[in-house]
Amino acid sequence: MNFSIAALEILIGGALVMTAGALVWLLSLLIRDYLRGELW
Amino acid sequence: MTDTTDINSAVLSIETGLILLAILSVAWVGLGIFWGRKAKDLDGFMLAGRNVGLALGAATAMATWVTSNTIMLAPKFALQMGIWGMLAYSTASFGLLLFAPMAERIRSLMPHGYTSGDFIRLRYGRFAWVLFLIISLVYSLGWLVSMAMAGGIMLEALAGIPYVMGMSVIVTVCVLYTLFGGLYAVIGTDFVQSIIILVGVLVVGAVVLFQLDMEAMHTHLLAEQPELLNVLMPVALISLFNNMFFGFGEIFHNNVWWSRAFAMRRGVAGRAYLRAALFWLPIPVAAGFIGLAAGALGINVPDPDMVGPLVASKLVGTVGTALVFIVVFCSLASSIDSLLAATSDLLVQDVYHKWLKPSADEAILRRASTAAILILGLIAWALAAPRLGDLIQVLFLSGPLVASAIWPVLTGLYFKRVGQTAAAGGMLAGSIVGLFCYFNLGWYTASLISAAVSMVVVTLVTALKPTEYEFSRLQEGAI
Repeated sequence: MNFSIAALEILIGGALVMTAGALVWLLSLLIRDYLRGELW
Repeated sequence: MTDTTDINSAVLSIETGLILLAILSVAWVGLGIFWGRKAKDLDGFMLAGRNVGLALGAATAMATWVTSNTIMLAPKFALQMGIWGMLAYSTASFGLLLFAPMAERIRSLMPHGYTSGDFIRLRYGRFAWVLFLIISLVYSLGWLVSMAMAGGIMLEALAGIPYVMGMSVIVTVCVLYTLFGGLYAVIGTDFVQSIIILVGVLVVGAVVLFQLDMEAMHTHLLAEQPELLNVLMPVALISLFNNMFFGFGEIFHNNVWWSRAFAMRRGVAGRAYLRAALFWLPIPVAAGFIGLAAGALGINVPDPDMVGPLVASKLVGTVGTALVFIVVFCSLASSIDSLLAATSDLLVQDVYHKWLKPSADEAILRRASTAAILILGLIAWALAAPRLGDLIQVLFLSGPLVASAIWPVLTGLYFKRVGQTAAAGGMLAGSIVGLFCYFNLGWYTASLISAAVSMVVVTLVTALKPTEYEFSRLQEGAI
């Protein structure tokens, strides 16, 4: 039994979407901590 | 741009490579000195004042765990073990995930702690402590040398920068800013590096995905290497569990992760590690899938370590290759600086302060830290310079050693009945049997078997010889 094209697309596309999400999330955490004076 | 299908022809010109190298070097040293000004005392230098917030905490854990091996080995795993190869690498994020509650407990049990060695010494006594230090130092040095070697190899392959020159520059830059700024510099630069890594992986991955004919790749793989798409590929499945346990062992025991737990303010450590795990999870797939495309694109891959950059440069062009160069440099720097800082803490606190010179005051320890960082940098450089061995072997040889520490650390944090005989016996038996399996069965079994043996020994000895440990004994006073 092999992985289908759809499975491959979902896996790779999902990974890239998650990476984009991580970037946005991290930047929003930075802004929040900065505004609260909680960076360090 | 030169022909990318030949491993011997660099994909960037040496001039471009040297300019990028100079810009990145100046930037990291400058930022390190800038943030390092905050390090006024020993707690500041070693643990960034024990008040690191969520954003910086999550970023430093993620960036440290994204090594150049993630960028290089994930495509190699995909090339050799297919879909499960990428997924196997992704399971390394489970270590960060499981460490999240442990980090919170570490922070509250040891409010004045400095190293993972402190925990083992106070929890299990001297013999287990020495054993643990040997395991930890072998692993840390192995990781450090493999990172330095990877730096030299990558810069040579990407831009034709001679191996020794590229390796020397990366090690020197990291030593310099860690030396000036301690953990403040490491965590500050890690944040910038984590943003660059995420942007780089995303841009290169998205451009490759849009240019790649997925159907053609799938058809090619089915015709030429159907095992890479096999849902039940035995070697890859064993590798998945092996990688997961190797990751547990690496993170649970190593001072890189413990020092961050000590450095974060109360209530932050657990949440930061949880977020770092989620940020890290997709990266091996996002960076690794391009390894699957090599065959369909007709790219000759004489060295599997280089499959990622070769495919990226073929599809993304010079700008993309420059981005790969920057991402690789950032992923190397974010790991090397953390290793220098955390391993020097281990040498200074555990070996020098707690073992050789208990009377040392803060000023002496601060000077000892400087010396330890310099010595570690020098040793890493000297061992990496001859360019010996396959990268994956350097990395995975320490797998069975660190996997043997999983149960002693985990049970020691939560169960008072586990004593020093169980912990030392688990580490010793797991390491010996794991190393035997590494050389006789295959690297992909060693960590798994080591962790299993260690678990059996810890459980049996605890059942036969339980102790009653008082956790308040972990609250050793500040220096």
